[in-house]
Amino acid sequence: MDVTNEAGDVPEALRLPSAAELLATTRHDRTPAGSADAEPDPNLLPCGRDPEAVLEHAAAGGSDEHERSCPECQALLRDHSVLDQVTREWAELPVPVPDDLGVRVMRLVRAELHTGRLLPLGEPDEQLTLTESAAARTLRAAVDAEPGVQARSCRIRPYENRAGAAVPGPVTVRLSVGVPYGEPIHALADRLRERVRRAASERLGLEVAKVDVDVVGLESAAGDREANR
Amino acid sequence: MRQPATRISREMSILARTTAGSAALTVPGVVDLQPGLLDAVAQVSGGLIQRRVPGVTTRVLDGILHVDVQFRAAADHRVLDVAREVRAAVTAEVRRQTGQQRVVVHILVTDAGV
Repeated sequence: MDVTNEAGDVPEALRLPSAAELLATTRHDRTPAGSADAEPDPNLLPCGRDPEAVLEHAAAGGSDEHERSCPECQALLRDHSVLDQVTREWAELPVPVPDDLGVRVMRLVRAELHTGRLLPLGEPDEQLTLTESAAARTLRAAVDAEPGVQARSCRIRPYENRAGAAVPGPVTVRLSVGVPYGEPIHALADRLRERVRRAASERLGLEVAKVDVDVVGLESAAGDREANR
Repeated sequence: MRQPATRISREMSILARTTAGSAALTVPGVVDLQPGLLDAVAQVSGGLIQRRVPGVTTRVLDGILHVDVQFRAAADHRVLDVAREVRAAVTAEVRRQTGQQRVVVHILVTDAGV
């Protein structure tokens, strides 16, 4: 089946949405980005920028310093340029398009916005990045190795330049943990900080500037749990 | 709207992607290439996008061939070291195989292994 009309245009019903349209449909409001500790707004990029605005600025040739240097904004523009090229090629293909393709693509785009921040690694211009979720898994495992401690959450904030774009540099870590009852918390928190710094350096290659530890639960010690059975 | 990436020949694009994917997989510490958004779109499109190498995307901007590589790293390797090795290996191989000298490789590590 040919999906183009005589003029070579794609019929509206079969036209695939552009990346900008897909992203626009995922937005419901324009609430500003919260702090690093707040739940990220799923409608915004992890750096807090509105994806539609980033695309509009690039289209007008008016990207600001943040958008030119932020890995998340640049990733959006890269994905958009590649998807734009592919959708143009799709429009020329004489093959049937699945009815629910748009819905399925939108699901993927939404999922892509929930991957956490991108953490630049190494030196500037090396173009090396690590997802926040991957780094957090490694740091949580290091925390869990401390006897009796359970990591509940781990957020990692990349080093940012003056424009608020993530650039290589020491990151800030915020941990929420459950700790064993009766354990001196200050000493335990120091041990957790040391575990996090060591894991970040030895396993990931990330320098850590600060580790904030929130104790959000007290667990009964393993011995007590056994005695209560 | 930003101008779409300048087209390179389809054959060149496929060569760059396959070369980049193969080079990345030879680096110790690379578990596998990690499909990205476009690969997922390709999967649900029922074969509309063909000849893709999952985890590798290429485009040309301002005369520079950009290659994006996403991969999962093994737990027994330091992520930064693996990422640097992959970038060096992919850059060298893509230059050699395609003849393109202006190549920039972008690395995204999606899993550090635990």
